[in-house]
Amino acid sequence: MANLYLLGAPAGRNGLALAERDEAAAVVLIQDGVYLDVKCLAGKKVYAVRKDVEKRGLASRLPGSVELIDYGKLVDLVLENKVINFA
Amino acid sequence: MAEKHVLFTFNHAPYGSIWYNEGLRAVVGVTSGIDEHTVDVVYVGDGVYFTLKGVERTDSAKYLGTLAKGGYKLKAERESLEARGIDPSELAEDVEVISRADVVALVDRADATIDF
Amino acid sequence: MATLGFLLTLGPFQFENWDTAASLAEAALDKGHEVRMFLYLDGVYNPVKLQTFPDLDVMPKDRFAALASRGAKIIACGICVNARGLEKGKDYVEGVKVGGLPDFAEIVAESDSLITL
Repeated sequence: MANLYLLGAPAGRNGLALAERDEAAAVVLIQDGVYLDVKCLAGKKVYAVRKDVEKRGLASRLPGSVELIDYGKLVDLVLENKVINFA
Repeated sequence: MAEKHVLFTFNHAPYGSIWYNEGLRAVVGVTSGIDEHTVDVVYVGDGVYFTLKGVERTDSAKYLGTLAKGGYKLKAERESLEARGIDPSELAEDVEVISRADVVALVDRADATIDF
Repeated sequence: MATLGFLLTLGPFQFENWDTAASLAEAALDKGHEVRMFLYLDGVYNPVKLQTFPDLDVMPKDRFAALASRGAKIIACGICVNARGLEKGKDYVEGVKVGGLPDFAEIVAESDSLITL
């Protein structure tokens, strides 16, 4: 079970700083969290909500390692892991 | 009902918006129910501005009083303080400074987290 | 089957958190999970049945009403409701109840995971 950081805005940047230090972190970018720079998370699993990414025209701007997910997958993730809320 | 340990983070600077106070109301509400949850209260990012000793606490005094009676301390993240040029000597007496690594440890300890 | 809890603190028509919360709750119900939601602060504006807005095809209140009709338990903070002149939720869609923070404490207890938006 990972610590699943749900990063939005404006609190997302505070959660990002924790996720960077957290060995057990996985990250989901949600809402305006998709604007966050996730370079500091190299080596950690990063997801982003597809709808939030595509609406903002960011699909080609996110690192290829970021996995785009729908709400159904996000429900699975939040129930399989511990949610660390910074939305 | 199972009691849980809940980590509350405060992310907004006080005043101009009500997160600083309504968040504390929620903290007290969560600790006061029949479920007897326990909490950590941690100030991160701009939230650490609430922990300055000069901050007016008229609105939040009753919630802070309840938490103090329950043995809770407010915790401020050192890295967030440093990034804002705040020295620990500038903080209110009921504030404990903890490192970012300590906050991650609190994340690990928590059953649930809530951000304000 | 699991229970997914939500704390929603923002209202409709200014922020989009309500849409994320409703979409996740719908997805959770689709998968057979239980949903609990506490509306806090401006979150209590979401289920007001008098909503009209020309730019939205589906009103927020209808999404919340549909969630409630599918078994989601949605409770609004009474202090927040009355602070905003919503008079104990008299203009709420069917299925949304008015309660208090003890209800939220119970949601925290019941939920396998909790999402705050």
